[in-house]
Amino acid sequence: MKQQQLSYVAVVVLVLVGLIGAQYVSRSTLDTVIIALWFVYLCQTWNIIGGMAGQFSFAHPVYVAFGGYTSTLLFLHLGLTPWIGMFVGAAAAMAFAAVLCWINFRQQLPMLTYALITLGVTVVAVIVLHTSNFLGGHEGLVIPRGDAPATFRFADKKMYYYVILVAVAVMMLITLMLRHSRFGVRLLAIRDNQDAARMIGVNVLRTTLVASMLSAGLGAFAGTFYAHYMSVVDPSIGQVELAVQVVLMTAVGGIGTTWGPLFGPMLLVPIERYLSRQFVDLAGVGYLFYGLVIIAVLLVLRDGVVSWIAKTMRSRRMKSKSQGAQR
Amino acid sequence: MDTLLQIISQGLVLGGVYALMALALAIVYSVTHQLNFAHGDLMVVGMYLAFWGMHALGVDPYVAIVVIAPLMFIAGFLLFRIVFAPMLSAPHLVVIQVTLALSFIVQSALLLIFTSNFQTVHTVLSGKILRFGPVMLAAAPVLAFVASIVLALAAYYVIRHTEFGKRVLAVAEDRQAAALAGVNVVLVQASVFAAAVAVMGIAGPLVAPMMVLQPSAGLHLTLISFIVFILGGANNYLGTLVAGLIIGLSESLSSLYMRPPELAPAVPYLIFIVFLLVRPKGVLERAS
Repeated sequence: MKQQQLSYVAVVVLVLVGLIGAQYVSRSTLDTVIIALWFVYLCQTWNIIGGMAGQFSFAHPVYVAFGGYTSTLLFLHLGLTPWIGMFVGAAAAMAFAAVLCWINFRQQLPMLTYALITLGVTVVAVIVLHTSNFLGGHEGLVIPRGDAPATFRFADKKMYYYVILVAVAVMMLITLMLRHSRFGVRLLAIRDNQDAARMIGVNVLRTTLVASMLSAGLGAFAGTFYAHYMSVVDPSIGQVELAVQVVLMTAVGGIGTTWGPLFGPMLLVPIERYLSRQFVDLAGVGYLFYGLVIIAVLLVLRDGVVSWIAKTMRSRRMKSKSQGAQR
Repeated sequence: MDTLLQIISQGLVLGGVYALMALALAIVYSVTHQLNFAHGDLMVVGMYLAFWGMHALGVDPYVAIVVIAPLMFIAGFLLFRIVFAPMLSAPHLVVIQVTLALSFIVQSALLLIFTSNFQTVHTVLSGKILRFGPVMLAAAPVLAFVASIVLALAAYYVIRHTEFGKRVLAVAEDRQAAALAGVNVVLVQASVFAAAVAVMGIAGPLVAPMMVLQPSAGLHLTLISFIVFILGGANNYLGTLVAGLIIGLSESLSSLYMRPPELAPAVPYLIFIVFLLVRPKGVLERAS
């Protein structure tokens, strides 16, 4: 119980640090932090289904695209404010996620097969986005810039920062709540052993369905945010590379852990950004380094940084306990 | 009618190369039971090596294969020892992450060295045309097709009729039993992996003249290899060949008939998704 309270305190502290820190940083740093937080948010949403429920999915870019395109289309054609439109996008993403999850459950797909199917789905989705005139084809849909908070457009970058900071904090709370709820325990049970979970009375379909839809719906919000932050939504938002990045960043932090999705992007995005800016004429340096870090972390620590820290701390505690017992 | 014949022959040529790529993947999978998500990127490395040899040293890509293939073999061997060997006992998902990161590294390194500009490779056969009755085919793809088939047959021969092949089959069948019978399992796995990378080093320069080189081309090639591998079935060389031809044909035929034509690249993926849904317990299940 004590640890749980400590986690909530940590979230509050992080938000305060974020709020105060933002007053003292330059515009370009702020931009890096916003992108990093955006990835944190996305990794957190992926972690619900990919980490906690153990359904290794590459379909997240599709959900992000659902969110970004739906809210933008509603805004451009019907004038509906994206603050409402993003819920429509989330609903669409949830419906799509439900279909994928149902297929997975009905066919009892092996893990690798499900990963490959979702990969295929994402590739097809990107091709469709590129082709469709209604969705703007290669160029995508441009959102006119403006300063209208009621339609999710801010002249001041800081406002986007506050929005994403709050979103990350809320996701953090959702993750913590899931962790400590019956539902979260059911998810972990399904991840660890689906048959055993079923034996002890977990409704596998309902649980994974809810988790997939939660993960997809929350992921779709990230699409709306990105569209407005960039003032454009184009097919690159749904590309496979996004899923790869989300998976790898979460893996570096620790898949399935509470703090891993926060740690991975906050470590990797600034490194990549810094190197890319430092070596402008050497395109690729940032990503090269980033890939090497990922391989090193995975080979040495296996489960990511957060799991490794937890393990080390636990073994140290055990050691000191056993020493105390000997005395 | 001429266009149709043309398209069909193009599809077959493409399919032969796909089949070779998938075959390399399949043999590695049979001895390690892991999928390499950097597979296509290794082939792109082969293409860029050919490109570099042509530009910096003025060597024709076909000649360069003599150097590139052994180089890739050594690189593959080292790669296996450093990255793959420690990961073999890990769950599928960890290996997916590691090989995805590897693909990331390869792509960034290529981007760093060769920039993101599209590049093309020319060979002695560039612009040469072969005539078979009504069908006219560029010479380079025909050579790539013939070489792919020859390599596939050679792989089949090595596996079925040599001492080394017996060891490979033993490891594929049951690693523990093979180890107990005195087979050096890790050495077999490393050799097979290195050989597969070397095959990518042969296939890369062969197909480079037909392609536009780009550092991020690998992912598509990887996915196509997966598709062909899974459609064909594990340890089924003929199946892999047929699946490669089907995917190659479907890709070229859909570029002719698909409306709008931009959707054509989606067709292999759609075939793949439908196939996995109809036969989900396919080859991957048996292995795990």
